[in-house]
Amino acid sequence: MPSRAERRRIGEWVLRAALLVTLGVALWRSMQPPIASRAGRAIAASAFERDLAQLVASSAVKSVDLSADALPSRAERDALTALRRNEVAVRWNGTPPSLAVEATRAREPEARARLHVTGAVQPTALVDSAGLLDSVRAGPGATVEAASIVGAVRAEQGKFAASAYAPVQEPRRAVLVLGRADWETKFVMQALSEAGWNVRARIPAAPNVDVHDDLILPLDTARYDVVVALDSSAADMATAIARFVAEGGGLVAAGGALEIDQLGRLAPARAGDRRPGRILLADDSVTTRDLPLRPLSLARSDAVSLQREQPGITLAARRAGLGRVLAIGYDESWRWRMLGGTSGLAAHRQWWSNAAGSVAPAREAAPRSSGDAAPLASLISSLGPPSSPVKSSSERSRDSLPIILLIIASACLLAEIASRRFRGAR
Amino acid sequence: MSDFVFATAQYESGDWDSAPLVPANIIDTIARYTSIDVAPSGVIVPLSSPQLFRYPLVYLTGHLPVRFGPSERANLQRYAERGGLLFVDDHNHDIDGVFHKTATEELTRTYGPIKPLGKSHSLYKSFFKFDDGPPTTSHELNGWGDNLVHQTLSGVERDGRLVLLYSSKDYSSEWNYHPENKRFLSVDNTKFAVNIVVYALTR
Amino acid sequence: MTAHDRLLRLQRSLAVTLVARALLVGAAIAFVVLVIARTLLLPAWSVGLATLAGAGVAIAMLLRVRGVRSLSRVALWVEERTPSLRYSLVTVADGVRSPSVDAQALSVPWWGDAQKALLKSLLIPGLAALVAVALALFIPAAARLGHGTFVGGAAANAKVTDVLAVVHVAVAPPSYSGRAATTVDDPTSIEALVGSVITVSGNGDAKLVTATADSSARSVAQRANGWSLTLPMPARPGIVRLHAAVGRDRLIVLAPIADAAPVVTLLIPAHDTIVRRATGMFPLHAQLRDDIGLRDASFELVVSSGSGENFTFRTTAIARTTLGGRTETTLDARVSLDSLKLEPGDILQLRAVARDGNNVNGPGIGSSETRALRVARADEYDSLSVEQLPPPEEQGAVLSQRMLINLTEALVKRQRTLTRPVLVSESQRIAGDQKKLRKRVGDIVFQRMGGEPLSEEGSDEIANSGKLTPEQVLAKADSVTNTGGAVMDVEGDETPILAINKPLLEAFNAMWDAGRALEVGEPAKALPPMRIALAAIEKARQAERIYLRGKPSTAIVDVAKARLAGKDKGVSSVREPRPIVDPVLRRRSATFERVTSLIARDPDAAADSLLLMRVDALGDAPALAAALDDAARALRKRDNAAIPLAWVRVRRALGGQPVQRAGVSVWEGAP
Repeated sequence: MPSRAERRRIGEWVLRAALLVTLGVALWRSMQPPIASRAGRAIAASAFERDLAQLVASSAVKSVDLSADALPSRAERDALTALRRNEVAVRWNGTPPSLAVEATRAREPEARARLHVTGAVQPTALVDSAGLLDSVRAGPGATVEAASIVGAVRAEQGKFAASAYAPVQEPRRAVLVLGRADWETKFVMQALSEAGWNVRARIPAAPNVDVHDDLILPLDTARYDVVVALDSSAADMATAIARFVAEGGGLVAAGGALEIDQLGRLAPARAGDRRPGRILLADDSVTTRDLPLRPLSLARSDAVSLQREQPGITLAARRAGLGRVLAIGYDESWRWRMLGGTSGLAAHRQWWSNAAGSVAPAREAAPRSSGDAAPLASLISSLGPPSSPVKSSSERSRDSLPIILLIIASACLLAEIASRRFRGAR
Repeated sequence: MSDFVFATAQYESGDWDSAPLVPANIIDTIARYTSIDVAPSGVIVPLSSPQLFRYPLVYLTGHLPVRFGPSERANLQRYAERGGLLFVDDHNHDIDGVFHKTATEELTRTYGPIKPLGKSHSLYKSFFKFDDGPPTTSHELNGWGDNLVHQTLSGVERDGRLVLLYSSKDYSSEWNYHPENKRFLSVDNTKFAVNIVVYALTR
Repeated sequence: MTAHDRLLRLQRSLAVTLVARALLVGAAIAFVVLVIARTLLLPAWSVGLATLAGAGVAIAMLLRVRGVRSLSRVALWVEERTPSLRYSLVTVADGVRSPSVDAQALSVPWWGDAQKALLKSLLIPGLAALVAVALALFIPAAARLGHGTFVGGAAANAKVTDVLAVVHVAVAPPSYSGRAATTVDDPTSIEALVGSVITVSGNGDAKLVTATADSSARSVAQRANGWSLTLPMPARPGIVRLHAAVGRDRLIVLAPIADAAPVVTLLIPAHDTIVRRATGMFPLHAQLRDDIGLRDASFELVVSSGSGENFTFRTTAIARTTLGGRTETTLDARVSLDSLKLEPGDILQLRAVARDGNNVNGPGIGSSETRALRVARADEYDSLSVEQLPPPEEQGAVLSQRMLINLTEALVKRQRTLTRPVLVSESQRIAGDQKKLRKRVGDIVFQRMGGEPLSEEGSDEIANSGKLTPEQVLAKADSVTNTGGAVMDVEGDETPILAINKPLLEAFNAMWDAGRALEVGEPAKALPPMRIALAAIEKARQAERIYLRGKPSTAIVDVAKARLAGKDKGVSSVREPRPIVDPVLRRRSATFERVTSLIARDPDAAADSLLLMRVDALGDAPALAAALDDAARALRKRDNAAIPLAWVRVRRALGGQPVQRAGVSVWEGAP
C-alpha cells in the first residue's frame, strides 16, 4: 500500500501531467485556423475582399454577418448572393448613405457630360480617371455638368462610393430650320451652326422664291434630330413635321409656328399677345428678361413649364408620340446675341443648342463598361433590407475555451507547487 | 418678329451722309421683289454707339478720308464677332483715291486682310442671278472716277460668312435717287441690293 | 584510425573535390561565354549556349571521378606524393590486413598533405569562377545600336543615351529689340519675339540627332562638345521635334511673341473743331509708346476740298522725327493754317503716325485717332448749333451749352450791379435759349426712325414735360405715337421710337432744372444743373459723336404700295454646304481624354501630346496653353505631387468650372 508521501508524489505527477496536457491543448487550439469549425462569421464590408477567400473555402461557415462600413462592390455582392444560395445565411447591418450617380450626355454636338448625384448628404467628391471633377452636397440631388470626363465617374463619400460610365455619344443628325428671311432665322441658324449642329434650312424670301439647302426632304429621324419652326412659313410642312415628331423627332416651335393648326395640336402651349420688353431701354446688356415676349399658356395636361419671366411662361415642353416638343415664348432672341454684351454671344448660342438638344432623340451607345450606379439599392435588392447583428453560440464557446484552459493550467500548477512546499521539497 | 431696318453708318471722320436717298431706294427695292418685312424708312447709327448692334446690316459710304476712332474700331470688331455685316461703298469710284486708300487701311486694321470675292460667290445668286459677278454701274461705264470697271467686290469672311463687303463700284451714286424715279428706268439698277440684303438675312 | 580508414576518407574527399572542381570550372566557362555573348550583342539564345558550354565542361571533368572509385588508385595517388610509404598504402588498399603494414602505412602523416593538395586544386577554379561571375555582372545589358555598330562598354552606352538627355536652348532676340540673349535648360516651350534666333544644343554626336520644325527637316550641326540646331522663331506657334537614335523624341513648343504696334495718342487737338476762318497757328501734340522701341514718327495731314460728288485731296506729312529706339516719347508740331490755304467747306484731317523698329516682319505702324478741322461754310453756320467742343482759343463765336454757362456766369458776376427787372429779363433770355437747346436735345433723346425733329411749336408733350425717367419717356413716346410698343408701325408723321439715349436724357432733365431757375431770375441756382447737363452731353458725345446740327432728310417709303410690284422675279437658291463646325471644346476634350489614358502607359508620350495641344491653343486660349505647358513639365519631371494639380488646371481651362445645379431637372437639357 503506497504511503502518504508516495501518494502525494503520485498526485504531483498527475498534476504535472495535467498541466502539460492543458498546455498541449492550448497550443493545439492556437494552431487551428480561425474560421475552421466555427459556424458563424462577422466581417466588415471594407475588409470583405481579404476575408472572401476564407469564407468561400470554409465549409463550416453557416452564416455571415456583414457590417456595412463600406458598400460592397458588384463582385462582392455576387459572392454574397452565391453564399446565400449555398445555404449560408447572409445578413447585413449598418446605415450606409443612399449614394447614387448617373452619367448622361447632353444631346448636343458638344455632348457635355451630365452627372446626376443623389444621397450626397455629406460632402461628396466627384472624381474620374483624370482627377477631381467637383464636390457636391445636396441630399435630394444635384446635377453637375462637365466639359469632359475620363473613364468612370465615382461619387465618393468617405469609404462609400458609387460609379457610372457616361454613354458614348453617336454623331447627331441635322437640324432643320424653317423661318422667313429675317434676323431671327439668320441668327438661330448661326447659333446652332456655331454650336456644332449640322444646320439645314428653308427660308422663303418671296413667293416661290426661297433659299434652301439641297434635298431638304424627306423629313425623317434618320436624317434629322430636330425641326426648328420659327414662324408660319412652316405651315406647308406641318403634316411632315407632325409625323416626324410622332416617330421620335424633336420640334422647337416659336412665334407664328405655334399658331399653325397641326403644330399647335402638338405643342405644349399657346402663345399670347406680344409684350414689347425693355429692348429700347437697354444698351449692350440685353438678357432674356429684356426680350419681347409672347407669354405661353399651357395647353396640355402633360405640358411642363420650364422657364418663366415676369410677364409669364417663356418655355414649355411636352412629349408627343415618341418625340418631344418645346414651345418658346421669346421673340427676337437675336437681340440677346447682338446686344448682350460680352456674354450674349455665347449665351445665345448655348441657349439655342440646349433648346434643340432638349428635344433631340437619344442616340447613344452603351458605355464600354458598366459601373455601380446605386450600390445601396443593389445591395438591398441582392440581400434584402438590413438586420441587426447577431452573435452565434459557437462563438461564445469559442471565446470561453482559452479562459477555461487557463484556469485549469493555473490550478494544476499552483496545486503542484503547494504540494511540494508542504512536504518540504523544492 | 422684327422688321428689317436699313441702317446707314455715321462715322466721325468723313461725309457719311453723302448718299441720303440710298436707304429709301433700297427699302423700296426690297418691298418690290421680296416678302421681307421691311421698315419704311432707314435709320442712322453712329459706329461708336452700342446702337450699332441693333442693325446687323449697316451701310457705309462717303467721299472723304475714313479714319476710325478707337471706339468705332472696337465696336466694329465686336459687331463682326456677333454676326453683323458692314457694307462699304466708295462714293468716289477711285481705287487711287483717298477714300479707298484710307478705308481699306482702316478696314484691314479692323477686320484683317480684305480679299476679292469670286464670281461664283453666293452673294451673286442669293436672290437674283448675277453670273458675271457684281453688276456694272452706269458711272463706271460713263468713266466716272478712275475710269475703270472694277470687276470684283471684296470682303472678309469668318466661318464662311461675310462680315465685311467692300465695293469700289460706287453703288452709292448708282442708287442715290428717289424711289419714285424708278419708273423712268427701263431696268431697275438696284436689284443687286436685294441680293446683299437677302444674303445678310439668310447666310 | 587505421590506414584503411584514412584511405577511405581520402577517397571521399577526393571525389568531392573533383566534383567541386568540375562545377567551378563549368560555371566559370558558362559565365565567360555569357559575357562574350553580351558583348557581341547576341540574342537571348546565347544564354542557353553559355549553359551548354559550362555543363559540357563540367560533365567532362566529372568523368574523372570514376577513377576515384578504385581505392588502389587513390592509394597510388598518395604513394606518388609520399614515396616513403613504399607501397604500404597500396598493400592496405588491396585488402591486406597486417599490423606491420598498417604501421608502415601510418608512419608518415600523408593525409595532411593530401588534404592540402585537394584544397589547392580548388583554388584556381574557384578564382576563375569568381572572376567570370564578376565580369558577367559588370557588363551592362545589350545596348541597342540603331546603326548596328558595336559599341562596347558602359561608357560608350552612356554617350549614346546622352544625346537628348539634356537640351540647352539659347534665345537671341532680333537686334532691333536691343534685348539680351537668354538661355534655358530642358524647356518644354520657348517664348520669344518673332524673328529671334533659337539655338538648341546638346551633348553627343550630331549624326545621332534629326530635327524637324513644323514637319520641315532641319539640319543639325556638329559642334565641339556636341550638336546644335539653329532656327528663327516663326510668326505662328510651332513645334520642334528632336529625334535621337537612342531614347525617345523631344518636343519643344515655339510660342512667338508678336511685336505690338506703337500706341499713339493725339492729345492736342483733343476734339474735332469747326472754324469760321482758317488762320493762325495750330498746335499738335501726341504721345507715343512702344513695347520695344520707336523708329520714327510724324503728323499726317489730309485736306479734302469740294462738295457733292467733286472732291480733291492733298496729303502731306510734317514733323517727321527719328526716335532712335525710345520706348516712350512725345511729338510736337505747329500747323500754319494760312499755309494750308483752306477754303470754306474744306476739311483738314490730321493724325499722328509712328513706326517701330521691327525689321523682321514690320515695321509696326501705329496711328492716333483722327481729328478733323472743318472750315464752316457761311450758309451752314447756325447760332444754335450744339457743338460741344471747347472752342479754339482764338475763336469763341459758337453758341453752345458751354456758351450758355459762360453767359450765366457773367450774369451772376454782374448781378449786384443790376436792378431786379434787368436781372430777370437777362436771365429769362438765357432761359429761352436753354429751352431751345433742350428741345434739340430732346430730339436726340429718343432716336426716331426717320421723320423730322420735333418742331418748336408742334404738340410736343415730351419737350414740354418736366423731368422724366427712361421708362416714363418710353411710355409717353408710346402713347404719343400709339404704337403699343411695336417698333415698326408708322402713322402719319409720328415715327416710332427706337432707343433711349440715357446720357442725353440726363442732360434733358438737368436743362429743365436750369430753365426753371433762369425763368424766375435766379441764375446762380441754374449754374449747377447747367454744368450737369454739359457733362452729360460730353459723356454722350464720348459714346457717340452726334451732330446736333440736324440730320439729312429721310424719305419714307410706301412699303404696302411697293410690295411685290417689281416686274422681275428672284430665283430660289441653294445654300452652299457648310462644313460642320466641330466645337473646339469637343475636339480638345477628346484629345485630353486620350492623353489622360496614356499617362499610365507612356508618360512621355502623354507630355508630348500635351505640347501639341498647347501649340493649337496658343492662338485662341492662352490660359489653356499655359496650363498645358505646366502639365507637360510636371509629367516630364514625374512630379507626382504637381501632376494632379496641373490636371485640374488644364481641365478648368478647357471646359471651365463644372456647372452645378441643385436637384435633377424634370426636363433634361432644357436651357
